[in-house]
Order: sequence, then structure tokens, then C-alpha cells
Amino acid sequence: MASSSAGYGDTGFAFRVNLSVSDAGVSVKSVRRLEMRLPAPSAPLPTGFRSGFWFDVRDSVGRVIYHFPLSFPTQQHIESFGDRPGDPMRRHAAQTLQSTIGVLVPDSAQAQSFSLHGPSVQTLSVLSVAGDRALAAQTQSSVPLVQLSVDDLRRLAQGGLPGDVS
Amino acid sequence: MTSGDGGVVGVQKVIDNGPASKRFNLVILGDGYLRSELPGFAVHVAKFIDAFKAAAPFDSLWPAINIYRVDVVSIDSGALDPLTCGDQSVGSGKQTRTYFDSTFCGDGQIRRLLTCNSQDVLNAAQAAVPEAHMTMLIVNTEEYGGSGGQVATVSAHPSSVEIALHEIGHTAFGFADEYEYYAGCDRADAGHDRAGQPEPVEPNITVDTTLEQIKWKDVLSNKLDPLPTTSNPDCSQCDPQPNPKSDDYVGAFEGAGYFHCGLYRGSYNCRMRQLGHPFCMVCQQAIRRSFAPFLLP
Repeated sequence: MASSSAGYGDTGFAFRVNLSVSDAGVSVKSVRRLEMRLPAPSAPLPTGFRSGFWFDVRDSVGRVIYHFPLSFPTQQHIESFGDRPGDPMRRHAAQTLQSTIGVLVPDSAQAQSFSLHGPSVQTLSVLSVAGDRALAAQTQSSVPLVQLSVDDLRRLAQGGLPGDVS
Repeated sequence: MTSGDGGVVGVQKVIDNGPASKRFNLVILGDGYLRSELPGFAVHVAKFIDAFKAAAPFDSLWPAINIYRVDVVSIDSGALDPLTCGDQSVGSGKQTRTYFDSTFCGDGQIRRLLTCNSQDVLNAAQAAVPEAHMTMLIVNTEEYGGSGGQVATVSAHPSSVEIALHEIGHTAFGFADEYEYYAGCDRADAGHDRAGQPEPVEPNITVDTTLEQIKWKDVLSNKLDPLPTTSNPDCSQCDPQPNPKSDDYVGAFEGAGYFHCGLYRGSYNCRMRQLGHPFCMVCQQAIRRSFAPFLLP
């Protein structure tokens, strides 16, 4: 089953949201409102249990109106390209995780809430063996990592402090 | 990065298809260029643009794209190249101070992993072009190499453009890797025999090959053909079978997303599976859909 993102009522404005990732969880680092268009969702968002990283934006009745997949934004494993052109690509478990995730979120009248989904922070950070961490992050069901109202994003973009977000 | 290592000296809109508020904005910065080498950076950017514009489907989406070149001066030329690396390779030992701290063996383990201080690159890109959608760094070295993440980092080697296009697939469109191994088909790859995960959110791999549900059902080459198109007969290893269909055939080929079995890709090959191949039809369709807003007036 898959659900299409309904049109999100593009107003030509978006938030650039920088999120901080740590063992304590995911929190907002900064928000900036910009006049810019965003890419359209390229495929329906699968429903039910899903794996991977993505963010979505929902309307007042909880319908997904925008979503975007994120390819390993915490860089839990890194890609290498061999010694010569044509060599196979490979993945390697990272020793440290990327601590900032940047996303572009539409600002529209219908948008009520923003959520980032991914492997749990415990999955990413607690497992002591880097290879296990990489594999676990690839295969487990994703969970909401942070949820915010779009009103919070608007307030933060106007100079509110991230700590003000409940 | 310290201010003593260099600085941003200029921004040029080198491909102008409209205001930044209405187009997809790719920002390309340089690292390891002396002031006297900035004309060379402009040449490296121009060569990348030629390759980018020739890569389907960007050839037909060009009016959607702006490209900005951010000229950055470093006090040293090239990239740091440690003598030793975890893969036992031997580097030149070159010590450099560059604005974005570009270095080979960026993780201490893999020589060709060319990395930078990606947060500094993003900050510089977004200071120059606040509406940036994608950020790329070209490092002034002819050695082959690169890395991914929120910044696509590549060397000036002519073939590194393939790395950049693959990384744009990840970062700008959220594509998954379509190769069926993690460490490699030629080495032990424990834990990657069979995928046991729920449906991935990425548009180009799936666990579900039913005709009614498969993500790319509207680009299947023949809806009467059975799915999957190929199955791996031995999930303990990569599937060695040759392509039973034409290169542009879209079906469901087993082996993708770092698993020998249980995950499927749309075509036998794709830029997200092996460098040097074009984006497959599934990825091309996803790119076209993503870019639709940027084609509007």
C-alpha cells in the first residue's frame, strides 16, 4: 500500500530547518524562511511499517501533504568508489555520525505539522559495533525522531529560540 | 577551516534559467585553489556542467536548473594526502591548508575517500545562495576520489563527475543504492544475504514486486511479464546472471539496497548501482516528477 502526498498548496516559500542529532535525540538547531520552490515528491510514501529516513508534512486532519526521502543523513555508513574509475562502489560503517541534518520544508496554509522519521536514536548510537549500527539502521522499522508544528517553525524562523519548542 | 586558510572571493551564476526562487539551484564551490588557479576552477566547473547537461534526464530538464559557482581561495593548492591510511595504501604525504580542509583518506581507512568539512561548505553555499537545493565541492586535485553526504565532494579527475552524479541522486532525490552488497561481491559480506526490512521509503528499491503495488508500476516495460524479472538462486552471494532483457527494460531485478535477496531494483543497471551507467528509467521518472515545480514559469 502507498499513499500519495496530496498537493501541499505551494506558496513558493519554504523553511530551511537544521536539526541537531545526538545521543539525547533530535532537536531543532535553526530555522530560516526562504522564498523558494521545493522538489515535488517523486513517489508515493509507502504506508504501514517503513524503513529509512524521511520527513513528512501533514495537514490538520493528519494527511501527508508532502514528504521527502533522505539518503542516510546521519552518514551512518559512507560510500567509497575504488581506486580507479569503474571500480565498484562499496559501503563502510562510519566511526562517527553526522550531527546536523538539513531539510527544506514547505510553508503553506495547509501545513500543520512536520515530522522526521528514521531509525531510533538508540539504534544509531547505542550499538557499540559500527557495522551492526549500519546494518540495524538499514533494516529496522523507522520511528518518528522529532515532531513540530509548522507554527513552531514559523515562530523559530522569526527569531524564537529552539528551546522554546515543546 | 580558519580565516587564515583562505576565503570566499566571488559568486557567479553560470547557468541562469530564472530567479533562484523559482528554479532548482545547484551551488558548486571549490577547495584547494590558489587565487592564481581560480581560472582552472572555472574550467573544472564548466566540464562538470557539460557532463551534467548531457546526463538524462537533466538534458530535457535544463530550463529548471540554475548553477552557481562560488570562487574560494585557499592558501595551499590541492588536498591533504596522508602518507599512511587504514587500507595500507601509501599517499604522497602532502600537507595542505585549504579553506574546507579537504583530505584524502578522510575517514582514516580508505585512501580514495576525499572528504571536507561539509558543514563549513554548506554554510558558505547558503551564505552565497540562500535558496540552494544541492551543494557540491570540487577539490583541486587530479587524483580520482570523492565522497557523499549533504555535500557531494569530488576531485577534478575527469571521471569524478560520475561520483558527483551518483551523489546528486542520493542527496537531491533521496535515491537508494541499487547495488546488492555492502562491502563487496568479492569479500565476506555477512548479514547481507536477505533483506528482512519493511518497505524502504526510497523510490528506486522495493520489497514488494506485486504488479498492483510495485512502486514503478507505471513505467514497467511490459505489464504482462511476470515479476520478479530475475531471482538470485544463491542468496549467500551476489547474483552473477547476465541481464536477460534489454538495457532499458524495467521490471524487478533481485538484489539491491545492500542485500543479495529480498530487495528489488527496476532495471538491471543504473547509475545508482554502478558508475558509468545512465540513470535507469525508474530514477529518471522520479527526477522528472521532482523537477516539475521548477519548470513552471
